[in-house]
Amino acid sequence: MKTWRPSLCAAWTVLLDTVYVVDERTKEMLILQEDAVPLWQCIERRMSTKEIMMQLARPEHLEEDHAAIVETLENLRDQGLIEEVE
Amino acid sequence: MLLDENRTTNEPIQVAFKNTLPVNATIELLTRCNLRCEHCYIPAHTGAGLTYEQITSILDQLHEMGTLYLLLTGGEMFLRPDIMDIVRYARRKGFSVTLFSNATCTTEAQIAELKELNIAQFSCTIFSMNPEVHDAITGVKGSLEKTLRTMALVKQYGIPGEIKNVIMKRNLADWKAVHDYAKENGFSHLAPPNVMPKIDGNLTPMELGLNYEQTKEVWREQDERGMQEKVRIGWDESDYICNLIHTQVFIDCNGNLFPCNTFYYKFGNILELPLREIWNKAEAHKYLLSLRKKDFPACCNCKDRAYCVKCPGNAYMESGDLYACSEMDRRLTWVTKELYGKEAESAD
Repeated sequence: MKTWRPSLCAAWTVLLDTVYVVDERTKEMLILQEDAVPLWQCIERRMSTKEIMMQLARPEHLEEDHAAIVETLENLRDQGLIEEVE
Repeated sequence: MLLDENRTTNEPIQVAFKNTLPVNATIELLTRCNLRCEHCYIPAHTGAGLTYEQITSILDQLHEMGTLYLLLTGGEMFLRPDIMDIVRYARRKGFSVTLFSNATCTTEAQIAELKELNIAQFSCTIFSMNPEVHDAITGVKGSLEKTLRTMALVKQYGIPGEIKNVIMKRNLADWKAVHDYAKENGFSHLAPPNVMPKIDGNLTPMELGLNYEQTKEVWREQDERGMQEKVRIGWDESDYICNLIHTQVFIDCNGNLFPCNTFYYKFGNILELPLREIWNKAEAHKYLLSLRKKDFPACCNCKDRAYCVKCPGNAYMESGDLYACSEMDRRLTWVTKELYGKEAESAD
């Protein structure tokens, strides 16, 4: 099963209710807040997309949340900050 | 999902300061070293350091506490057989990792892996581009050649590099050549005209350092080269004596906790209590966090206080009294006043 994890391009910390992700190649910083914070914690715990959905998607908003989560995961992957591994 | 790319990269430091969180941490991995630098602040190069398991436990605790910037130092860390395991663990844990090494015993395979791990910086010390001077300071013939070979690899693999260059009497004439070397190779260069005492209170290393006139000349020349940060002039009694105490922790190779590696005021030991408990509850740490400039009456009455960047660590290292005036601070204060005093007065 494929799971997500932060890539070796990223350095990060969680301070209060915010995740700060540094791209170590460029030193640019991405700041994650609100529902992106639990998503990052799922990535840190190396969960699969399915597990993340089970954890974060609200039953009454499944489709909407699914789309938002996938979009964010792809965004972070395209930036090289996370990777999907076997 | 809220992803914000427009806020300042300084924000984690500001948040950590406001909330007293150790966003910066330094771990001394060992005190063993293959060099014998004549000015070194470490009295004995015998400490093998904590075990790999102890270090990874510390890294887990630091991560939980919000540490982002991790500095690994020694001794010489590449004498540890497990050094790459430690760096790998730290990077996988999410730390932005800087290494302080003497760069004399690092292999190309290690440098290649450091690149893959995307460490933030590889920092070493070069005292002079002249091997006779550099090797005389390190006490090991051939050490400059080895360091330069490693730094060539650091450049080749595209790892951000830094050259530190403590300026003393013996290498006073040499720092500009080191600066040129750093610039040519794309490395940052840090050349402080300061020599610290040994951490056991032995002041002998300071005798190797510059006097007032030499310091002033170096500072003036560094200013011309754009190497000096903007000098802050002023003294507000309500300010903390040192903001860094609120955002950083130094862990020595026996697990002792200090505010930083120039302020050896112990506030706990991580082998005895969890970091969170010490950081939040230790009386010695609470005391350090409470220190404001107003608590330093001699400083408040000093006519030169506006030019002084008071470091309680320097005073504590020199005399065992953090309220005292350190020779190092005094010299730098006088130089600041001499070089920038008139400019500041006219600005007022």
